[in-house]
Order: sequence, then C-alpha cells, then structure tokens
Amino acid sequence: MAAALELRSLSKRFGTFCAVDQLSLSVSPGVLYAFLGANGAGKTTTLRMVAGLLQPDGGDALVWGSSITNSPRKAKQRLAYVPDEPLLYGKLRPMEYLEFVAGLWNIPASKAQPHAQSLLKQLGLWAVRSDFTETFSRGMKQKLALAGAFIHEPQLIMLDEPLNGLDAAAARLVKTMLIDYVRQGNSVILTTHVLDVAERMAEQIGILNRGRLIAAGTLDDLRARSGEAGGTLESVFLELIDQSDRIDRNQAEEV
Amino acid sequence: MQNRSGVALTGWLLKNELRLWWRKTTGVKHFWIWMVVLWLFLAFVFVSFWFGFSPVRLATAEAELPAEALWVAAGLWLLGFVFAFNQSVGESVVVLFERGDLDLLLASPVPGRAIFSVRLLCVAFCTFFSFCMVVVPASLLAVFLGFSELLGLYPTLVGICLVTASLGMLVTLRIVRWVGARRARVLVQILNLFVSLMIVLSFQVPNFLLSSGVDLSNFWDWLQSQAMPGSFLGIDSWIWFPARAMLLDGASVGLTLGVSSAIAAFTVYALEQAFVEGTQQSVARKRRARGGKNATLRDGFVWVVLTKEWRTMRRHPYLISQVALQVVLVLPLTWLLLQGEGGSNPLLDLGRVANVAMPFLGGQLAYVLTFACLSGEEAADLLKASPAASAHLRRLKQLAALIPVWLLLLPAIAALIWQGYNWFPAVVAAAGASVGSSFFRLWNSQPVRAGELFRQRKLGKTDLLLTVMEVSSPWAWVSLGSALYAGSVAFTILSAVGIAVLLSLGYWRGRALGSALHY
Repeated sequence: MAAALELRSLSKRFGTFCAVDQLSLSVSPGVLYAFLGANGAGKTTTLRMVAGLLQPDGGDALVWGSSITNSPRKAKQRLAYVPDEPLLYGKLRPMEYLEFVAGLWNIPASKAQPHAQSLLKQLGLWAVRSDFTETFSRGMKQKLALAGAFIHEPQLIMLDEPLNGLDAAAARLVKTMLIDYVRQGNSVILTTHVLDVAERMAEQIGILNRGRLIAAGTLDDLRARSGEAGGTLESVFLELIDQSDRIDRNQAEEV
Repeated sequence: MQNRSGVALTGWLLKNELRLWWRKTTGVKHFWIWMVVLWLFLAFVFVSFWFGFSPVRLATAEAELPAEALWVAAGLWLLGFVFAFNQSVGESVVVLFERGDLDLLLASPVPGRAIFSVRLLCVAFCTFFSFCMVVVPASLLAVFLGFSELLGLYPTLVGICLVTASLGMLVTLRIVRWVGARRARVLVQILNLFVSLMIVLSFQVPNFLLSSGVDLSNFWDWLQSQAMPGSFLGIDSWIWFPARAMLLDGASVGLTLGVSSAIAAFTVYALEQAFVEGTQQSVARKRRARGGKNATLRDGFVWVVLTKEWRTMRRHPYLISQVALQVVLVLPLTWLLLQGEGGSNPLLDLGRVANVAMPFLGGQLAYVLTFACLSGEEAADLLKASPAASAHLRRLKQLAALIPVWLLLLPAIAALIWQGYNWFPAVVAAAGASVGSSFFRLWNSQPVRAGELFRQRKLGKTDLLLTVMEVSSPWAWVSLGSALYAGSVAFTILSAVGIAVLLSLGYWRGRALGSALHY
C-alpha cells in the first residue's frame, strides 16, 4: 500500500537561503503526523511544495503514490491544504464558498450539499450561514477553511497551524474531527507551535531544523533519541534542536 | 512625556505623521524622476510666460481685478472645495480606521485632543500639498502679471483644507459606522463618480430646458434681482467672504481662517467624544447579510466558477458603480438608436457613433471586470492547490468578466438591428475590443489584494509596453469597425493587420514576462 505522503529528497532554495534541504520522510495511511520546528525551519515551505503551491528545486513528493510534479492533478485530487491564513472570499457566504470548493474538486452537488450542511452544523457555523465571510472572526474563518478542506473528502489533509485563533471549545472540536478523520483511514499532517497539542494528538512526529529533518518517529522514539527519557515533547524538542545546532556549529568550526 | 506641553506634544505627533506621509508619498515608483520632470516643466512654463507675455505684464502692471472676478473666485472656491472634500474623506478613512494605530495612541498618556488635532492637520496638509501642484504656479503667474492680491489663494486654501478635513472626518465617521471601514473608501469613490456624472449632466440641463420649451424668464428675473448690489446674493454680500478672501480682502481672510479653525476645533472635540464612546468597537460589529439561508449547491465546474465570479462582482460596490456608469453611457445611445434619428439627421450618423462608442464602452468595462476577476482573486492558493487546470480557470474568469459586458451592449445592438443600421461592424468591433482588453489584462496582470483592488493599479507595477498596447487596442477595434462600416477594404485590411500585430506582440510579451498571478 502506498504511503499517504512520501517525500524524496525534497529541496527548495530562495536565493542563497536553503529553506528545505534534501527532505525525505514517509507518512503512513491512518496516521496523524505533527511537523514541528522553530520559525523559519521550513515547515510551511514543505507543505506548500506538497500542495503544489511552490515548485521544488529538487526531489519529489508523492501523495498516495501520485507525484506532485509529474501528475499534479491526480495528487491534488486526494489532497487538501489549509494554510495558517484562511483562504476565503469575503463576499461569499459559507455555503457558497463550500459550493465553489466542491466545484473545484468536481464533487457532485448531490453529494456536497448534505456534507456541507453537516460540516457547517458540526463546526457551529450554521447560524451564520447567511453572513458574508468578511464579517467572520479569525476563528470562524479558520473553521470554514477547515470545512472547505473536508468538503471534498481528501485522503490527506495538511494543516498549517490549524488551531490559530480558535477558542478552547472550537480547538477541541477541531482536534476531535481530525482524530475521527484519521480513524477512518485518512492521514493528517499538521504544523503547530503548541507542543502539548502535538504530544496528545500525533502518532508520528517530525522535527525540522534549518530545512533538514533532524528526527522523526513516535514520541518514545524521539525521547530515546534525545536522551530525555520520560520527558515532555517540549523538552525533547528543545534538546533535539540544541543537539542539531551544536553539530552544525562544530561542523562549521571544522570547516 | 507628561512634562511636555500640549503644543510640544502636538508638534511631536505632527512630525511623526508627516514622516509617515512623506515616506508614503516618496515611496511611489520613480517619485524623484517625476518631481524633477514636474519642476522642469513648471520652470519652462514660467520662463515662457515671462518672455512670451512681457507685453501683457507691462499692460497689467497697473491694472486692478474687475469686481466680477469675485464670481470666478467663487466658482474656483466651489470646485476646490469639492475636490478637497473628496480627497479628505479618502485620507480620513486611512488615518482614522485603516492605519490601525489609534488604539496605541489613545492608550498612551498623550491627550486625545492632541491626537485628533494632529490627525486633522495631517489630512488638511495632504490636501493642501496636492493643491500646491496647481496653486503655486498659478500664484506665481498672478504675481508676475501684477495681481499680487491673488496671493489670497493661500489663506483661502488653508481655510478650505481645514474645513474639508473637518467635514471629511465627520462624514467618514458616519459612513464607516454605516457601511464599515473597508467599504467606506469604495462608497466615497462611488459618490465621487456620481458627483462627476451629475456635474457633466448638469451642463446639459439648460439645453434640455431650452429645447423642451420651458419658460425660464421668471427664474432668470428672480436670480438677477437677488444678485443686485445690496441683495442677499449681491456682489457686496457678506456670504461671499470665502471668495473675497481669495482676493486678499483682510477681513474676509480673517473670517475664513477664524471660521475654519473653529470648525476644526469642534471636529477634534467631536472625534474625541466619538472614539471615547467606542466608535471602533461599533464599526467592528457584524452586519448580517440577507438571504442565503436555504442555499442549494450547484453542479458543474464551469457553472460554479462563473457563479462565484458573478457573486463577487455583484457584491463589490466599486464594480457595480463601474457597470452603472457604463449603463448611464449606453442608455442615451440606445435611446437615440431607438429614436432612429440618424435617418433624419445626416450630420449625426448613429451607425458611425455606435462603431466608436460600443467598442470603447465594451473595452473599458471588460478591462475593469477582468482586472477584478484575475488580479483580485482572494484565494489564489486555494485555486492552485485544487486539481483544476490554471489555464482553464483563467479562461473561465475572463468569460465571467465578458458575459456581463456583452449583455450590457445587447440592447444597443438590438436597437441597431431594429432600426436597420449596418450592425455587423459595431458588433465585431465591440466584441473584439472587449475580448482584446480582457486578454491584454490577462497578459499584464499582477495580483492585488482585494481591499486595494482599485488603489494599486495606478502605481505602475504593470509592464509599460503591454499597457501601451492595452490602451491602443480599443482604438484599433474602433478603426476596424469604422472601416467595415464605411466599406473601405484598404482600411479594413490595415486595421485587421494592426490588431493582429497588437495581439501577437501582447501575447509574445505576456509569454516573455510570465504570469505573475499565483494560480
């Protein structure tokens, strides 16, 4: 069975700055994968390359076996990407927005209609279905963007900081939805700075530092790797980053 | 900071405001080149006048302005006031709501009155500066011709700027409360378009009244009696004091500055009160849109994309205003065509008029709508992340922009056919101009944030060569339509070749530059 996502030596440079450096990893079906890293580590760049928004300088990304560079339409059909800034149209209502997204993914209206209604109800947006999205709060926009990701029933959802702007109840709701979605055999990749969330939700964790994957695996794997037995993800994360920085410094001094 | 006096604080804040304004103004592309060109032009004009009008200067050295100059001054004052008011409202939206730094300032120990005084002065200064481009050369010329009393332009301008800044800020406060900060600027643009249109149409009112045989003699008699010296509207009446200030009448200058300062002071007080009472919170309140409760999702990629674009268009007030403006222009043409006046008046060949008017209207509207659809795309990443082909999406967006244009022109075309005119050239020219404009816009597109859709397009981010071709395209189609209408084979071939060259060059240039759109 193909991996939900497989990155093969994926690279991206912006001028002289190497944002993602030969990144390889694999995310199995039915897994919630947390992508962690400091600001500028390359998390968003990686997700944007996988979503087809950025052209990789090298390597490839395979979504359920379909290459995003060679057969982008096939790969995108099974993929949803929710950036940290929700992609909405201010002058559309929630149902109109979902209609548009369903149309982009060629989902028949007969299938999309009940799904859209159910998503809006589930996410607490049914009461504001007559309002234009420009009047929504940050959290409401985030929820609608999430509904847009779910409407075409992708097998892989990538979310960049999905809990930004959500209140406690909404954050809990979203977390539950994502976990349920994964239980159905789909995969979710999310980036977050809230390490507690990653610790509680993710089955697999990947840590990026300066565009390179410095550690990946379950929390226990990472604990063993960092030497922080029984430590929280926060302490493990900081230790691994520190180790990586030390190695980089030593290599730089040797050069 | 607490030790500083109010005046010192105001000066300090004003310095900060002017710094922001200066950076915004000089941040325009090639600002200094434009400045040098402008001043060289002004110097050239001034030197030309100095030498070219020496006899006039000598003749007017001892002359005095006639009393009737007051009427000219009053007209200029009114024109300046309308312009300044429009600009002030635009600036007010920025300094009161869009810049978003008022919370920071009002939370600081700086008195609210100082903050709002500075905001008002800044708006007034921006307007004053834009007037200076015209007023400085005009006043230099006036001095050169010996009419030094026209230096009254400056205090009058100060008065106009203070009053319009005050009114502008108060009106902005009302408009923003009513429609929200984001829509306020658009609403102002619409009002501006409307006022411009009304001014143009008002020039036609006397002609209309005369041609309709309405007896205006009583009205003229009444007006003349009111304008007699000693009357309410007479030349010596006190109500003309702002115009008299322009002619450097001491008392009027004092009154102008006094009244405008008082209005400004009252505005500062009103603004402070309004913000203390929570204007920002009230404008952030959600407004509920009507309808859409029982929305049924539609099927089909093409239909869904077209519907989305049309929904966005019809909910965009500026686009509505643009379409409305074209309707206003198309209606008289259609009406004339339906009257069939071309047959009775050989000087007014309506078939020829249609060949010029329709391509221009179609091209202009296609330009605006395609620009909004392509450049104003709010969720470019969503489109790119979708499996839909980018080229297909862009063509659909163009189609979404073109269909309303063709629908708008349809009544005029129907009227042409109905009256038996040669409709084919007009249809070819209008369709070609609209499609041509749409493609040039596609090749010359830059992404623009939705909120800045009609602010950034003039900043020169587009390609110069493509822009030149874009402007030339409707002319080429007008030429083709006219040549077809006149039955001139040579000109038809020449126009067709010109269009082919333009489109080929545009396509080549567009390909060479690559698309800047992110989808």
